[in-house]
Amino acid sequence: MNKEEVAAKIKDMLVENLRIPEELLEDDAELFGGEIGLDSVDSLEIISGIDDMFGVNMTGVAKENFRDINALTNYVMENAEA
Amino acid sequence: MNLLEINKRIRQRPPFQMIERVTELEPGKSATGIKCVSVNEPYFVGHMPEYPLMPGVLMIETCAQLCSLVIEPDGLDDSKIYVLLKVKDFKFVKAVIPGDRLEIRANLIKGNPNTGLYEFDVQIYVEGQVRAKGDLMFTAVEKESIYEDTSDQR
Repeated sequence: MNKEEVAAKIKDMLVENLRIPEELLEDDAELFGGEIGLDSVDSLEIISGIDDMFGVNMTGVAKENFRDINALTNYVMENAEA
Repeated sequence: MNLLEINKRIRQRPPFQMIERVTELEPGKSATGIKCVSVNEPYFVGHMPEYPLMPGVLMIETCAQLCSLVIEPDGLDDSKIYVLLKVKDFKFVKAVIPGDRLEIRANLIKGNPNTGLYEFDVQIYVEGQVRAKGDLMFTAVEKESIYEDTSDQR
């Protein structure tokens, strides 16, 4: 799976599970601030969604890896088993 | 599963014990439970004196207790406890009143042992008619962590 495909799956998960309007979800849009404004409960859902989709456990991972879709994608690409 | 067997599996006790019988239980998948609503229940004193109605939050709690039986059929690691994380799309279709026999159904729709996140689709029926329905999400937390953040506020 290439980077674009991973980013697209993360975006779909954010739209479906957290009901974030798709038009707000630019790849560099800040997830936990600004207009989107996610909170700690949402982060647990992101962790679970990433684990379900890619088998990557982000429990306890530094918060900068949750900043936006780009950061989540990079973490998954670096930590997913080939 | 009768009340004595339920008592071995869940920690809630009267007047906050909501599941009185379990008629079906498939660990990790689903359960059906029963609660008989009596006018003697303490919350009816104030809700409402002239028109007793079961509070919606207690219907959610009733569903949550059944879900806890599905997640932890043999008891959980003593250091952890499952807590309600999110209530999604709950609808209270029709009032629950004294005399109603609630049939509560819970189906696991997402469960991830790695992250401890579980999501259930739940419904409450009375005589085959839906009274409430929605989704409940739970997570496991360390018991000690619940009080950690408040220790410096005393």
